[in-house]
Amino acid sequence: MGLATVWLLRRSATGVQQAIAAEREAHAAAQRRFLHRLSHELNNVATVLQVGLGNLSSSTRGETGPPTTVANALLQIERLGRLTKGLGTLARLDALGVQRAPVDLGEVLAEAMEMARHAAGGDQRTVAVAAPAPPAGQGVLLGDRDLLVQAVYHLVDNALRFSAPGAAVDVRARRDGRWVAVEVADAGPGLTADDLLHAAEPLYRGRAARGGEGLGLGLPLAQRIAQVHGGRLELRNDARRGTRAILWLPLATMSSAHAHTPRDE
Amino acid sequence: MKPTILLVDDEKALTAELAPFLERSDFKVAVARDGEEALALVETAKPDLIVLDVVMPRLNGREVCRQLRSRGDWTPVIMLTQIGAAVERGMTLEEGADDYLNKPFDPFELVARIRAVLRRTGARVRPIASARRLVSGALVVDRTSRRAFLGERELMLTTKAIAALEYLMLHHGEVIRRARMLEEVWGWDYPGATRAVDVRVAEVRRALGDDAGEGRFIETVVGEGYRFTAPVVVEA
Repeated sequence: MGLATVWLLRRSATGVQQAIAAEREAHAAAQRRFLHRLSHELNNVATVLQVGLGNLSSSTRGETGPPTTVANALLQIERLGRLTKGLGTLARLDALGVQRAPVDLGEVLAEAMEMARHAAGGDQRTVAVAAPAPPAGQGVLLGDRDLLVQAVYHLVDNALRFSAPGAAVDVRARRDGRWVAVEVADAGPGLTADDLLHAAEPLYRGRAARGGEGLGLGLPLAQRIAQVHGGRLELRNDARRGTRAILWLPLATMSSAHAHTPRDE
Repeated sequence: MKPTILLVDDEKALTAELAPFLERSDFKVAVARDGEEALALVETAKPDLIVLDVVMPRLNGREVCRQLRSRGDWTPVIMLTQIGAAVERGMTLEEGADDYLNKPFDPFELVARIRAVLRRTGARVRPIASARRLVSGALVVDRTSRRAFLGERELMLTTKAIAALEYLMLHHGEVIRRARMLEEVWGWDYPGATRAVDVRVAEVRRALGDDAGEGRFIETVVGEGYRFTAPVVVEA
């Protein structure tokens, strides 16, 4: 095979890869538009229900607040509201504007963990930080601090949901080439093969999560936030037990031409 | 006399529930089904405040608001938005709405907002929401360049901290719940995350030299949220 043939083959292979990538992106964009419209429609329905129940409760409201049935229905509508708003955020994340400013990863981790602890309530589950940040001075993370906090928060929150009281959630950040990996590991039951495939899909809830309070939006949001930063979310079971969620984020010093994708382990 | 609210939404099921709710809350209510009807009704019904849905056929809410403002009509407007819409508003300045509420909303919250906006706006003057500069004593927030100054000194604040300060100043005198701020400045809506608000408000206070207990500008309302207590002057 001559050099020219090899060159031509390589070029057409790159073309095919680009076409596949473009098609994937078009498909993902269509899905986001769908989510946006769905969220909009459901929001309208939820609004009518909420105002209707407001009418009911304001005519029956006493010192003790709305009757139980109305209060329960209101709680469900609140849940529906969180769901539709979450879907809307997921669909419109890029449009909401992603800032690119230097981010102190240690601060991001600390804030996310404090939020998750607060959300978990006063139970016995603990969050331990093994290594709060990658070694200093080795590249800067450019990104949207608040979004990154949100992403890590969802990973920690998710890990806490699957942890037994007293069990620790381990959070660490490390550098790997041109990437930073934020790892959140729990000692829970681990994910099933199905969970591993689908856990980052919106509204997917694994068997272990059913009946719980989750909405099935935390991991998809974390994944989307990683993507708008040029990174990705990896989920895997640890060899011994538990699940490890890894948020891969590119360091700012790289020029995109030399970037390599995070390696699959 | 009861204030008149013009309720504009193409969703009939919603106006059918919301109109009686507002009436029971001691308002007179007029209803318009789309933007064009709304513009016509503003002339005849002379509402004290307009509750305006954003997404509508024919003329959408943002356009209605722009048209009103461009003809010098400063009737207060509360815009009903989808989450994130208030966050992605570089357009707010031009749009000139007085407040935003994400759907779905608690109708009691809407009534509280209507009362707050009516209190704040009183006479029909240019709304604070369309001010380019917010001034409170030595503190100046330039909303166009998104910079803040205390006297001669520029305050080094993150974008979110400026947005938080701006939001509190725009709603000065009102107690702003942390969850509300989180939803409207950050575009998030889940429990626990209100810590993010505390972090940004603390950043603003540090920059202002404002003590958390006895802030000159921002007061902590224990168990509720924050209130910008100093008077705010609007500079066009």
